[in-house]
Amino acid sequence: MATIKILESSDSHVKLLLKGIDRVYANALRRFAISEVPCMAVDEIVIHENSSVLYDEILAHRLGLIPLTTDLEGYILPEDCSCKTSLGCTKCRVLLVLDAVATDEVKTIYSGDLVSEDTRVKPHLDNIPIVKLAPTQKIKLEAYAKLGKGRNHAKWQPATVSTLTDTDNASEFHLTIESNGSLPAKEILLQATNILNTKLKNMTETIKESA
Amino acid sequence: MSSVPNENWAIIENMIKKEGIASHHLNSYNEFLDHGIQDIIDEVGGIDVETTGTPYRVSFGKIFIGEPRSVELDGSTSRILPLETRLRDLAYSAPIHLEMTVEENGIARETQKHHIGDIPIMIRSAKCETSKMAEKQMIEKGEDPLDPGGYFIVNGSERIIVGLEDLSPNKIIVEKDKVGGNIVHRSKIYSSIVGYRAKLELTLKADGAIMVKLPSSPVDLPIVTLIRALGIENDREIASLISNQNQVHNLLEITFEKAVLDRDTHCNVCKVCGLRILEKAKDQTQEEFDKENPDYENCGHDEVCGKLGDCSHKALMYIGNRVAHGMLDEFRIRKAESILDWGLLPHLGKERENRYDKAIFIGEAVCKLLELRMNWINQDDKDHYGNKIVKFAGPMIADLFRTAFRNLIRDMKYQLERTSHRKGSNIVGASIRPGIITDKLANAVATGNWGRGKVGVTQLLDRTNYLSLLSHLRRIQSPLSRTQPNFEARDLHSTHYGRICPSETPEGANCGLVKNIALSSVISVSSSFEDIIDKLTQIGIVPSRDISMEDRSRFCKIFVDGRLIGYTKDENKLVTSFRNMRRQGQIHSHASINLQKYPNKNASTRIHVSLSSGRVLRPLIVVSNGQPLVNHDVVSRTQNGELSWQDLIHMGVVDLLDANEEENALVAIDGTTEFSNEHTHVELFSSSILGAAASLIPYAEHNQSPRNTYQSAMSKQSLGFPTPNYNYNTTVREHLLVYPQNQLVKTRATSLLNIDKRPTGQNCVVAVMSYEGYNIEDAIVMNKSSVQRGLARSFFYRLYDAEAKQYLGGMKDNFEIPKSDENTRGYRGEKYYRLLESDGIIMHESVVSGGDVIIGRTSPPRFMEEYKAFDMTGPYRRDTSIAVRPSEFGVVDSVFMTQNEDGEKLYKIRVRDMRIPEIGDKFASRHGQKGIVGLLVNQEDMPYTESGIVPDIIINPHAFPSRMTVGQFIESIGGKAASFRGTPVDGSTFAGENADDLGNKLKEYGFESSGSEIMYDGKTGKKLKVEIFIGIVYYQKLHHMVADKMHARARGQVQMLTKQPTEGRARGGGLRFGEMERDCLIAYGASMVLKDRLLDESDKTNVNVCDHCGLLAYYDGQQRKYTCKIDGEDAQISSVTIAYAFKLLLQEMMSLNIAPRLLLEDKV
Amino acid sequence: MIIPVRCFSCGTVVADKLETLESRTSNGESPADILNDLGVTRYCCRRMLLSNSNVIDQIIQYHESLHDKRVEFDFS
Repeated sequence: MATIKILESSDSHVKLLLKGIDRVYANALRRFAISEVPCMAVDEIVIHENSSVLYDEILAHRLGLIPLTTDLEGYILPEDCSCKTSLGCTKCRVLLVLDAVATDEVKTIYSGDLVSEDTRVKPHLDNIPIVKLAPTQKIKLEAYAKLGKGRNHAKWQPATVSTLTDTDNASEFHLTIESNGSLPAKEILLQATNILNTKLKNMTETIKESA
Repeated sequence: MSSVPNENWAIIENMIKKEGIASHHLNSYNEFLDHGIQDIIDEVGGIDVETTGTPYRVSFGKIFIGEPRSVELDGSTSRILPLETRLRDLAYSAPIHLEMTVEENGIARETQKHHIGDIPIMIRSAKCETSKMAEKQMIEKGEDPLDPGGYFIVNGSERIIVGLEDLSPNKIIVEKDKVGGNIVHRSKIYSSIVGYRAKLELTLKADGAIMVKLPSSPVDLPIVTLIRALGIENDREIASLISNQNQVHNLLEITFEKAVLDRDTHCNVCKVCGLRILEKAKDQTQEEFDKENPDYENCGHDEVCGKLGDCSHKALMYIGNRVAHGMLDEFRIRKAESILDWGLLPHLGKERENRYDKAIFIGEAVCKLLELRMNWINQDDKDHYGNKIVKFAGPMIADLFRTAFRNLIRDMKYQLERTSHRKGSNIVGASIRPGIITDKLANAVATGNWGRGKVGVTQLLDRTNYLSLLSHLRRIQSPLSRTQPNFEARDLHSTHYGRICPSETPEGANCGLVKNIALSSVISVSSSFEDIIDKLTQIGIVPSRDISMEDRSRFCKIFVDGRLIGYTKDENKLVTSFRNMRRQGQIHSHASINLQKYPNKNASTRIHVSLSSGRVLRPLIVVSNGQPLVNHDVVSRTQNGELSWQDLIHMGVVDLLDANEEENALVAIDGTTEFSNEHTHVELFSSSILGAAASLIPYAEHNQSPRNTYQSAMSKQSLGFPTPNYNYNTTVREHLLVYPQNQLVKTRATSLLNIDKRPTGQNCVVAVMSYEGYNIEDAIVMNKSSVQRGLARSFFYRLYDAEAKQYLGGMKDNFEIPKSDENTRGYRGEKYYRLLESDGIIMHESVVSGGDVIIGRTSPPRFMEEYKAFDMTGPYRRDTSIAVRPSEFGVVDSVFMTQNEDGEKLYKIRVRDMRIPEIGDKFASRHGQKGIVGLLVNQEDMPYTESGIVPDIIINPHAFPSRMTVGQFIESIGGKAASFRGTPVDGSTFAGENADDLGNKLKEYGFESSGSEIMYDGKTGKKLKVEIFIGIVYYQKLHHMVADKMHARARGQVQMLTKQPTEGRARGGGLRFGEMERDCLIAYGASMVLKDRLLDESDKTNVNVCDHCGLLAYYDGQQRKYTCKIDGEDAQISSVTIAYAFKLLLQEMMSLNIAPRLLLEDKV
Repeated sequence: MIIPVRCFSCGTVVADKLETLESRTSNGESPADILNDLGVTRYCCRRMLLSNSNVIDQIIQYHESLHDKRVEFDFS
C-alpha cells in the first residue's frame, strides 16, 4: 500500500517520505518539478534607454532570472494562447516596467524597482540587485513576463533542488523539492502530479485511438 | 606533505608591490633616458663642418627629453595621455632637444636647443604623465591604475620590447671546441659599449699558436703581433702580461716563434734583458739617431744582438697590410690604428692611451686560455646565468637611437657643408631633419625590425586577460635559432633557480628559448664604475700598472666589469669587505662580487665585480654565524609597512645575488635547516622561484611537472576581465567574461598579482565520472541549466576601423552610403547598406551579421589616366566600405569618431558578440587539464547528490591516471572546504594549506574527507553504484570557441590564378583534399570519387588542343573558327577536359621555351 | 561583473544575499556563520557568494568620473 508522509513543509521547501511508490513515478515527479511545471519569468524586453555599463543582453538575462510570483490560474502558456503575437496578450503575459536613474551618486537598482501591471505577478524578492548605475545613467525598459517550462530555459524552473533519495528502507524514498519562490513548494508538487496525470491520460487516449 | 607556514612572503610581496610587476622594463628605459642617451650624444661629441671657407664645429651639449605630446596638422601641440594615442592611432612619444654650440676656431659662438626628433615614451616610465598620477586621476583620464606599463604605443598599437637574453659583455669566456678531431681552445670576448659591440676571439690552434680574430680583419693575426702593435715591444713584458708561470710560458713559445718567423714584424731583442734593440741606419749619425729615439737606452748587452727597428710600428704595418692592402703606407698605419682604437675592445676606451689597458686585457685573455689548455681551470659554461644578461627596452632603444642619431649627424654634416657660406645657429637648426630619428624609432618599435637582420624585437602586447599581460611583460627571449637543437641552451640550469620560472615556457620550437622571469628575480641596474674603483682602493688593491712581475701571478686578479683594474694579496678579505660595505649601503646593492678560485693551485684566482645592468639577481636572507638575520620581528615590521624590502637590503639582512656571486654562497633551503657556520644565506620564500603564470597554479608541487608547463601556457588563453576601461579600448580582438569569480583555492600570488581584481575564470562544481560517453577523450559534459544561468558567458569584441585618406590631386575618401545610381564600382547591393545612417556610419546597438556594411566609404577611382586614354565612361568612385567579417555576428557596441595624426577623419567601430558556451567550446582547469564541451545536459538529467547539488561540469576519470595532476584533486577538496568555512584556501606551491586539514574540514560539515559523495542518476533516480568525487574547481574558458572555427562549404570562391577553391575560413575556402586522402582513394580504387574531388569539383576546364601539333589552340570568336597558332585555321582541333592548373603549367612551360605537346587519341 | 542572480548549479537566488553578507562581514562576522544564518547551505550556492568579484565597481568609476570632472590633472 502506497503511503505518503509529509516530513517537512513550507512555502519554499517540502520533504516527503514515499512508501511503496515505484521509483519510476517518484522520479518522474522529481523531474517534472524542474522541467515541466510552468512558472512566470521575463521573456521579452523592450529597452527604451540603457546607459548603464551592463549591455542590453546582460540586463535581459538578469531580468529573466528574477523569480516572479506565479499565478497559474490567471495566465496560460503562450503556445496555448490564441493571440499568437510576439509580446503576447493580457491572457498570456504580464508587463513589468523598470524606470530608474541615478542622479548624484552610484545607485543600485533592485528587483523591487520593477513595477508590475498585475500585483499577483511580481518579483518574489525585492532586493535582488539588477544593475549599478553611475550618476546620470538611466534605464528605461518594458519587460514582458510569460509562463514557460523549465525544459526550455532554466529561468522557468520553479524548483531549484528536487531530489529523490534512498532511505535505509529499500522501498522508501525521500522526495525533496525546493522552490525558488515563484510557486509554493507544495504547489509545484501538485502541479507535477497533475502534469504526470495528464500525460499518462493523453497517452492512454493515444493508444486507444491508434488501436 | 608538511606545509611550512612561511611568513617571509611579506618581503616578496613588498618587493613586487613597491617596484611593480614591470619594474625591469621601466628601470631599463629610465636608465636610458637618464644617462644612456646622453652617453650616445657625448660619444659623437659634435660635427666638424669642413668647408671651403673657415671650417667650424657644432658641438653637442646636454640633451633634454620633453613631455609626451601630439602634433596636429596645423603644427599645434598638445600634451597627450596613453588613452588618446590608442584611440587616435598616434604614437606616445616626446620630443628630444639637444643643445648645440657653434664653435669657430675653438671659440664658442652661440648655444641653442634644437629639436632633433621624437622618442617613443614607455607607458608608466618616468617621462610618462601617468607615472605621476594618483589612482583617482588615472581613472579620470580613462587609464587603468593596475596597468603595469612597460610597453610603447606606436600608431595606436601597444608594442612591448621583450627582454632579450644575451651573453655578458666584456667577459672572457674560454671554451674547448672540437674541429675535425682536434681540440681547439677558444677565448671569446664580447666587448660592448652603448649601442656597439665588437667580438674578439682568440684561438689556440692545434699547432700551439695563439691567433686572434679582429672584427674588421679578414685574416687571423698572431697574438704577439697584436700586443706589439698595442705598443708593448719587449717580449719579456709581453710574456709577463700573460703570466709568470713557466708552464704557461712554455706554451707561449710557439706563438712567439710565429711572430719571430714572420719577417715583417721581426725585430731583434736583447737575449739577456728582452729589450728591443735599435741600431743606427747606415747613413745615420749618432746625433740623428738620438734625436729620433730620445728615450732609447742601450742595455749594454748589445754585442749579441742584431739590428732592425721599431717593432710596434712594424706590427702596425703588418695589420695595415692585411686590412688595407695596397694602400699608401700612411693610410695603412692609420687604418690599423683605428682598428686598434675603435674596433678592438671598445669597452676599454677609444683613445691611444687605452692601448696599454687593451694589451693587459688581451694578456689576461691569453692567460685564461692557456690555463684552460693546461686543464687548470674548466671551460666556462655558456648557459650559466652569470654569463648572461637580459636586455630590456633601455639597451635596445639605445642601439636604435645610436644608429638613428648617427644618420642624423651624417645628414646634418652634408647639409651644413652644402650651405657652407652661411653659418650660425639658425642654419644649424635648418639642417636638422627630426624625421630621421622619429621615423627610425617609431618604425622599429612598430614593426620590431631593429636593423641588421634583427626582427621580432617588439611584439603586440597580449591583453587576452590580465595574467597574459603580466606574463608577457616578464618574458625573455633567447637570440638562439629555434630551428637548431641547442639542447643545452634549452635545458633548465641550476642557476635559473629563483631567477627563471622552471615551468613557464612554450612547447615546441621555442621550448626553453622563451622564458619568464621568476617572481623573486630582480633585474639589475648599472652603478658607477668610478665609485667602485674608489671603494676598492679604499679596501686596498694594487693597480694593474704598478704590480710587480712576481706578484702578478701570485696575487688575485680583480676585474671590474671585465676590466682588469688591479690585484690583491688577500682575496678573501677583499671580498668580505666588499660585501660588508654593500650591506652597509656604501656600495650599490646591485653590484656583485664573485671570487673565482680553482682547486688547481697554478690557476690564477680572480675576482669579478659586476656593475652592469641586466643581470638577474635574486634576494636571499643573509645568514651570519649560523643565524638568519631576518627574524619574526623584521618580517612583521615589513608586513605592517614599517619597513620596505629596500630597508631590509640597506640593513644588510637581505642580499641581492647574481648567479656569479651565488657561486660563493651556501644557501639553506628554508628556515627549518640546521644552520652551520658555512651557510651564508637562506631562501626567502620557496614558491617565489616560479613565474607569474606558474605561481597561480594551486598545489603545483603535486602535479606532474609538464602539466604545470601546459597550464602556464593555457592560462594566457583564458577569458576574464582584462581591464576596467574596456569601453574606451580599441583593441582589435578582446574578450570579456560576464561573471568572473575569484579563486576559492588561491595562491599567495593571486592577490599579489591582482588576479583577485582581474579574475580569469569561475569556480565550478566538478564531478569526476562518465556521462553517457559524452566526456571521453577529454571532452566535458556541462550543465545546460548552469549555462543558461550565466556560467562561462562571455563577450567577444572586434574592432573595425576606417579613415578617409587624401589622395594626390585633391581627391579624398568620403564616408557616405554608396549609391546604386552612381555606378559605384564594387557596389554590394542595397541590403548590405541598410543599417547605415546618412553619414555612412552604422547606428550604435544595431544587430549585424557577416557581410553587413558598418562603415560606408567611397574612394576616388584609381588610375584616372587610364580612363582618359581609352575614352571610357567614368571615372567612377569605388566602394571601399568596411563590412562585418563573414561568419561573424554581433551588436555594434561603440562608435568612435576622431582624427588621426594627418588630420583625417578616423572611425573605429566595435562589434560585440555574446558567446554562450556551446558544444565545442574549450575549457580548462588550472592543472593543464583542457577539454571541449561534448554535451550540454539539462539539470533534471544531471546526477545529483543527497543534498541536491548538481555538477556544472562532469569530467572523465581517465583524465587523471596518466597525467597525475593530483593538484586538481586537492584543489577540488579545497574548493569545497573553502565554501564551507567561508574563506579561500591557500594553495601556494610548497607552502599551501595541508590537504588533510581540508579533508577534516569537510568531515566537520558532514561530508567525506575524501571529497566523494553518494550520487543519483538524474534520469532514473537510481543511486549510482560508486561514490563520485565531486568538488569545486576553478575553470577557465579558453578563447578557442567553435563559433570562430566552424566552417563548411558547398560552393564558393575560387582563386583567380588557378581557379581552384580558396583556402581558409575567412575566404569561405574549401577543405583540402590532400595527398594522403588521395592515397586512400587510390588504394581503394575509387577512381570516380578521386576524379570528382580533384577535377570536377575543383578546377575542371575545357581546352582546345590541336591534334597535329599538340599545343593549345583557341576559338576565334570573330571568325567563328577554331584556330591553331602553328597549324593555322585548318588544323584539326579537339576539346579536352583537363585541370586548369595543368593548363597553367603548360603555358608556364611555354613561357620557358618548352613546347609541351598533348598527344591525343580517340576515346575507346 | 555584478553578482549573478542565481546560483549557477542549482538555481537558488543568491544575489539578494550578497549585500547582507558584505555588510556583516565588514562588521567582523565570519562569512561561514553569516551564510549558515542566511540558509545558504549548499556549497554550490556558497561559492557564488564567496567568490563573487564585483568588477562592475571598477568599471563604474570611469563613468562616475565622466560625471564628476572636478579633479583635472595638473600638467605643470
